[in-house]
Amino acid sequence: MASGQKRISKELAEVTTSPPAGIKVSLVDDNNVHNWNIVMDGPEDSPYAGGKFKLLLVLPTDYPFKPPKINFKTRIWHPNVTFDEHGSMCIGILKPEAWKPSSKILSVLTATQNLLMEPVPDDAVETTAANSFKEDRAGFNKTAKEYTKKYAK
Amino acid sequence: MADGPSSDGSRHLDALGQRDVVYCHQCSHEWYQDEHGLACPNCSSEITEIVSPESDPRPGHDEEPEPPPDFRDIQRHNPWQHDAADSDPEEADIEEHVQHGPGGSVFISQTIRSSRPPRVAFGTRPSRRNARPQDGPDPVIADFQNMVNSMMGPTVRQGQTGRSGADTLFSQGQFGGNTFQTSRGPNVVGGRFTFHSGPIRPRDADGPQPGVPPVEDIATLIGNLFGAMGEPAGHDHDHRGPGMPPNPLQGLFASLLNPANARHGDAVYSQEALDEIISTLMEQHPTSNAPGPASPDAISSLPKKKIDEKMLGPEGKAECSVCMDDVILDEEVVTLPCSHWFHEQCASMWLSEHNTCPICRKGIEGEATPTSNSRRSSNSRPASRSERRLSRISLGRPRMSRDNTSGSRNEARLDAIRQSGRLSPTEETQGSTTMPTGSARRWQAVGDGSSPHISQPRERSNDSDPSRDMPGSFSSFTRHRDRQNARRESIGRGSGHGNTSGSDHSRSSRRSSRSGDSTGNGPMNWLRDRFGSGRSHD
Repeated sequence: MASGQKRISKELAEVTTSPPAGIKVSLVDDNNVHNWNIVMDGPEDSPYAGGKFKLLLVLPTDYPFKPPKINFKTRIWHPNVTFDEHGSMCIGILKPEAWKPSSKILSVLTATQNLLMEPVPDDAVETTAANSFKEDRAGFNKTAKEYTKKYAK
Repeated sequence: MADGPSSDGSRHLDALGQRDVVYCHQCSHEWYQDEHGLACPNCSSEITEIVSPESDPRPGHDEEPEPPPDFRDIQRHNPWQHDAADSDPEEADIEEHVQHGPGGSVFISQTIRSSRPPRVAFGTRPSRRNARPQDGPDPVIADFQNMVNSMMGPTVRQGQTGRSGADTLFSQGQFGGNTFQTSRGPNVVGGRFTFHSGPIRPRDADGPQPGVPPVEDIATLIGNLFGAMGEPAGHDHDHRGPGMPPNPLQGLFASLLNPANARHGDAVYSQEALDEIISTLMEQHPTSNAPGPASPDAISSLPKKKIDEKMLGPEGKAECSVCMDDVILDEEVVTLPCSHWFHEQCASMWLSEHNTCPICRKGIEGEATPTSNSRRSSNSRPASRSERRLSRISLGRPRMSRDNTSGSRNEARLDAIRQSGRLSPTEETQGSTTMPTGSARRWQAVGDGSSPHISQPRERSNDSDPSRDMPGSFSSFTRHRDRQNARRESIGRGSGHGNTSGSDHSRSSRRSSRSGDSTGNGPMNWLRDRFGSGRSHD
């Protein structure tokens, strides 16, 4: 869909020329605007501080009518991200019933950043992390910091 | 290793690498996700699956060109391949137990025990030990642990290709029987456990399972397995390796009761496994959870408007928030009830799938005809299971009734528009000057009193009552009549009564459009109906 491609290019230009703080964006393959590499700095006031998290953003061919998909390529200990090789993230803005075409990739990225700062344990995909986040915040922060050190270089 | 489906020799894309491989269940095509996305580039089907080591739907997958080292060991380890070369099976002590269980199940266990020292039985052992000196416990046990782990589910993932278990450990018999091949302990060369539990019936999603309850059945079978296992296990008790867990086979069979493993192929054995399948299905069809599409009529009837200076804002520049293209003065756009505007093409692209504004998600059809989302959930929430089945049965009606449905749907909208224009109380009283107040009841009384065959009110009450009492069960004939009445009434009677008929009518047509939907979508629609009720209103 040509209009989708055009919009994606526009959004890419916008994000690369004036990137939001702590986020770097590049294309996986210069000939394909649908796959973006994202490098996100762990927010300062979070246990992920100091880490650099790689994410893969895939825009469906019918974007913006379908939400983009975003996965953590770097392992992260977070209630809303699966702690496995997929790194699937659960975030409200991307849910099919909540997605709307006027949402921009930029807002997806900032929402992801916010999610790092404020996990939503009630909407968790990694339940162990969610439980420890709810019940043992210090322990959760410690584990998250350790994994950040270990994986997010 | 197990006699799985014979390979066609075709090479598959490497699903173990960094890139996700997607497999199309429709045309068996496979591709990298980052190249073509999730929809099949070949047949544009959406019934696709990301291939992962744990779940590989591709046929003939044992033709793996370069298995990872761990897996190679398991293959080499197959006792049935090596017996011929390493130890004479005739020398071995072969035991076979056949048990007949309930429900026509047959359980066969076969144990082959070698009297030779283990070194002979496992010719590859020294080299394996050299190859992986870091392995603490006996490599045989380590291999077996690998097999157990691959069955136990995702907790320990070995880099093993193929379905976990199904192709490598289990070979599906033609009647749903399973053969477990295994080996344990240095002295036991191998064993084979087979049970047949009769043909596995396709699961009827709507009704209770006929025949033997599957969960109970497998529990019994496993009970039998343990019974038969006891004896051979005792024999080599002394020869158990140091790292051997108390009874790894126990873990193996216990894992069958684990929800993650309580299914083989298309058959599920527990509610959890079914739930898991359903949630997978729902993930694969994400739109089913999103608001339904707006009707083409509603889309085409949206008001169009030329961009004026006010819309361009103070900077004199504005863009369509769907395609993000700038709009220019006097360009034509469509405006939604929430006053957000878009290019006509952009808006209809979205609205044809979701009945909401692309910006604020407000429904585009007003209160009178609610969004299909809330319509569906408000209807299906109180609906009992049998009621739902009723509406499904009503699909069997002749084709004509569906034409009626679309016709009445349009009319319902017209009625609704008419109705919304008449909601003001003053008009209501005006209407009732020509007619007595308290219409419905009054009409009934009049109908009873006068001659029945020309009395329209009487006819009306006959029509509307059954449809109120038995949702979804009215016949097309009734509906047809209802429609005619509605028309006649709204023309002949004036507004007061037209009102009631309008609301009543739009209700019935709503229901009928729902059953029309399910004709097209089949089981997915059932799922949607079933699980859609938990959905929130917008």
